[in-house]
Amino acid sequence: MGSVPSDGPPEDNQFTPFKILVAGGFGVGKTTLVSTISEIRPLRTEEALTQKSIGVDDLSGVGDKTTTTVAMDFGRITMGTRLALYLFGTPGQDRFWFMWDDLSYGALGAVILADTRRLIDCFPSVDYFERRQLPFVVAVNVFDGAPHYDAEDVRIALDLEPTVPTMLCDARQRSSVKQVLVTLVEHVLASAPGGGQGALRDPGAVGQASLPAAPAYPAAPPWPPAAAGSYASMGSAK
Amino acid sequence: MPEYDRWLDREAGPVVRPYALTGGRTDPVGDAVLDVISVIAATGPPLTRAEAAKFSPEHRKLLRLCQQPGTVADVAADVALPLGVVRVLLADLIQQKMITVLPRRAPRPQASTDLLKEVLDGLRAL
Repeated sequence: MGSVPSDGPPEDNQFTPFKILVAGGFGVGKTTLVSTISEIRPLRTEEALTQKSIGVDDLSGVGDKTTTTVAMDFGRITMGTRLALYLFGTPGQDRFWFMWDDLSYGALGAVILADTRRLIDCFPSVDYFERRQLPFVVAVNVFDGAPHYDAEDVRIALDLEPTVPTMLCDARQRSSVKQVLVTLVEHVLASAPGGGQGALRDPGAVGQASLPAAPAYPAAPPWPPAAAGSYASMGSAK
Repeated sequence: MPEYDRWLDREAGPVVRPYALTGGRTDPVGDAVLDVISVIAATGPPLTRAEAAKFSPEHRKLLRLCQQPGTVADVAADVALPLGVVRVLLADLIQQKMITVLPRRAPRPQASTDLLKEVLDGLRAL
């Protein structure tokens, strides 16, 4: 099969995947949202293997440790033969922060799902994406029996910039999820007048040489932020 | 059906601990960037029987999957191994020039905008 691509510039018909993150607190409906709009597949991650850079010498220690396989879901929306949108649900528990840098690398933007009963769960995500200057929208997943607020109330409660789109949604409804994604991509386009390279967060735009050798698992994840005291106490302490 | 499929099917669960598949290595060799949506592809035709003997069953399985260009996430899901393990194994294959990471589309600003508009159209058409 002679389909080997050369080192030349990518052809116009080259398959180009885009990545969107779906963030939010535990149980807010991230997996539901992804599965509503795309075919969902489990991606295994080995917590013990990835949590820190374990040297070969430390293997005996790894052997003693119970390794936990954590499944992370992702979905793919294929558009024709050359475009695909990948949706990654970011792990909600704070011991998985190390994976966020990996996932947000090269991402187009993010959807933060919110539950008005536990709005505080969004703060770490909002803080993270603001810090990363990654375009995001906040979608309030409307649960039955949850207090109803306007999207504008949520903006005020989360102290969001006026430019950040906020909306209500139903993660079970395809049309609703579609609207959330459309809003995000519009926001990405709008936040980069002229289609600046930054908007795409394309690693290729930065040049691969500028990346750390192992971008996947930073040894010292910058999380949790010192400010999020209540959040930090959620479960990282051993 | 290759003989190893009888031993390592999805239902069987991890017969071998994931770190054993990588020889205890947790960091991929080389400096190839294996993002979850990096597109990887085999550099040559499927292995002959003699060639295949030089690779571990997991490497062979990954090589086979890479005959069609795909993302790291798709390949990892197909092979049902942890992402970290898949990255280490893929990096081995890149090092041996058996697979390659396809270059990202040239980051011309206008091209980026055009692509995004295409994504938008694609979403609206869902």
